[in-house]
Amino acid sequence: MKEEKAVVYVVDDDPSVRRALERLLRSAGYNILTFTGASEFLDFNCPDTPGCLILDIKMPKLSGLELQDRLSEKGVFFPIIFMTAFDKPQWQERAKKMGAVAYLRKPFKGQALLDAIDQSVANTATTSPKI
Amino acid sequence: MMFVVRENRWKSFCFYMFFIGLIVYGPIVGIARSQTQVQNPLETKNVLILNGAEPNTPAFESLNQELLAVLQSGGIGIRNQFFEYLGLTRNPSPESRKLRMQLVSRRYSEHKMDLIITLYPNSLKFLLDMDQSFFPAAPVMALIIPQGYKLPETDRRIIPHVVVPDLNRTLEIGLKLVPKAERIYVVNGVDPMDRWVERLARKDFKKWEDRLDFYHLSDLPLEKILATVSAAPANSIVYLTTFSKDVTGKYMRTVEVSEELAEVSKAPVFGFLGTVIGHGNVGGSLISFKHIGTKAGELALDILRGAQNTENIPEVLNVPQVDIFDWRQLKHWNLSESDLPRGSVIVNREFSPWNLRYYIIGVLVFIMAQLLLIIGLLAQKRRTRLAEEALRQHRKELAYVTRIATMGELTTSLAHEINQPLTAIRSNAGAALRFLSQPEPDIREVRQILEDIVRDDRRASNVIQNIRAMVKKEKRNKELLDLNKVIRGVVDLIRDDSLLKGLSIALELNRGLKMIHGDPIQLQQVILNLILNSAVAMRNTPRDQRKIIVRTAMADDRIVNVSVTDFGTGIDENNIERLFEAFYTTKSEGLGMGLSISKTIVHAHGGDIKASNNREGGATFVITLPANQGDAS
Repeated sequence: MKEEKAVVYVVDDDPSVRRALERLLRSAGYNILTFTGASEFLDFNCPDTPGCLILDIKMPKLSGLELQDRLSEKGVFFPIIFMTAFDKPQWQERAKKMGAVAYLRKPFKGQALLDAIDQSVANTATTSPKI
Repeated sequence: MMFVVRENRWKSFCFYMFFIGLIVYGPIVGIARSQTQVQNPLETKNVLILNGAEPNTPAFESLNQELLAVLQSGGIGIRNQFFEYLGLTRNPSPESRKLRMQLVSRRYSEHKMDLIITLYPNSLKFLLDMDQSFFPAAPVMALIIPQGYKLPETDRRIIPHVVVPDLNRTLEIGLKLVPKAERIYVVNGVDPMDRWVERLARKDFKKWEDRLDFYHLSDLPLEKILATVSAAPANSIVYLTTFSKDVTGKYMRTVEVSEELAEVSKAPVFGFLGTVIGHGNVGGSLISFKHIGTKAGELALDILRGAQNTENIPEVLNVPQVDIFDWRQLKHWNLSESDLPRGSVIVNREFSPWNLRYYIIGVLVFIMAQLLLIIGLLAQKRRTRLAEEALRQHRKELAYVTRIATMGELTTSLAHEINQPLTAIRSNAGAALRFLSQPEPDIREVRQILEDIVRDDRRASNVIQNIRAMVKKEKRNKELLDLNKVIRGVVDLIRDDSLLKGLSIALELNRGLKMIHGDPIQLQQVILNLILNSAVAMRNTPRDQRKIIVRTAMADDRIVNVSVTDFGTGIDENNIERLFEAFYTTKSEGLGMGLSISKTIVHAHGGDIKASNNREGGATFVITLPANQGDAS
């Protein structure tokens, strides 16, 4: 089961957070790739494997929400888990509208993230990702 | 407008000068007086004063006292004044007189007299009867020569003081004070001088006789006189002229008679001789012996000073009578002060609060004026202080509001900045627990996690401290600070920070740096921000070039500069303006708040912060702060 675990992409501008999430997910047996910003992820060629995207909303230059828009424009659909250190109600609304799997307010419980990932991976297992 | 202003200034100037004058003028007068006594051209001159009477004769005593004082003030010392009392009235025998002449000429044979003053005709006559060799060149001032007295023929130069009695004037004044008076009791002695005065009085009073009843009492013994006066009706005036001897041959003094009259009289007693004042007499137009003494003394000084220049010396000394009244007697007889002639001298005034009312009012006005002045000044001072207080308060509020406004912009990111490390901590902790629950936990991994947790925790608490510093409305007053000390403190604090490892901080601190007013904690924050900023900018700089230079300097007399120079990546010229905006950051980590906060703090200190790129690479941040306008630190 663990070998089949999907790739989790983490986009956060904060290195501490990236390192911590990377460790947490690794401890849970996920394959994980971290990105320092939205543009870096856009430049990255996603492999054709099931996975999910953990996006920080507030980032310099391009925000997580904007990245979601860009990805839809490109026709790339991932289950997306948003996380944010600062909450704005309209963000949550918009995230939901765009089909986000979860919206997590930092700091969140590690288990909450893992549950959200499990849920999104399960979803991708049933509905094949469109790339 | 200009005029009004100047007038006001002039007024306040006068006002102040008035007070200063009060304080300064008195002493100046005192000094001026004492200085007039310095020159003394008459100190070698001798004056002989021949009294016909005995010592302690009231009239002559007061004359002599005044004469002595005036001569002395003119420079003739007491050792140069020779008072001789001849006692001629009491010792009228020719033998006694002869002996006295010999005595006098013997007594003064070893002296040289420059002026001889005689009192009363008898002493003048005595002098003229003496040996011609007795200081024949000395001029003679003959005081108290009754009008009509024929001066004896002589070669001596005589300047007589002729007494021209005016008995009417006292009566005129008396009638004004006692308008209902119809009976005038004239009290007079029978001594030749008394008789002379009586004759004059009878002559003078003639013009009143149709209006007033005159009772001349000179032919009654004193007891009868007193009895008569004690029965005087209310519409009476008693007029005491001179009284040296009563009809029974008893020698008296006018002063004593005045006292006895006052004791029994039913009517106010007026007088003719100055000596009666203070002895139960109301007063009147009096022959003032004191006044005669003054005038005689002054003339004597003139004579002695200008003995060669005789034209300036009058042939006759005239001393007018003086209107003198005893205040207590006026009160006793209920006589109105306002009925007195202008320029009257009032003696023995008792200073009851009512009499002092004008002085008291004056003093009160003075005190009030001063009080108002003081209150005015205090009020002004208080107003100034309140204004300053208000200004300070406003400034504080302004700083606070500014900070809060800035905070508004910052809030988003502050939350962000705290939640980021907390997220990392939680995730790390979760990961660590999971790793530890594995059969063979990777202790190194767990150790790294714990180190990261500690670092993130510090990061979070730093942010909280930042917020505290920003939000806390400081009650603390700014203090005088030596920026050099502040900088050294910061550098000592962070030298061991891992961020600064492999990096040198050079301090170039100006010793002549002026102190500044500031909050030490906030300014430390600013310096720390700039140094850490520079450190981050040099992450990719080759190790041997990683160096931060902190300099202090006086930009000019009023401005203190602190600059932090690094040799890092420099600033993106396009973004140099956004540099101090909140959350502008080029770093992959951090707040983007450090410079924003720094700017807020520096502005709150009345200074500014600027950034620029160095020619040789890297950036320099310069803080300018206003220097304290005092001595160099």
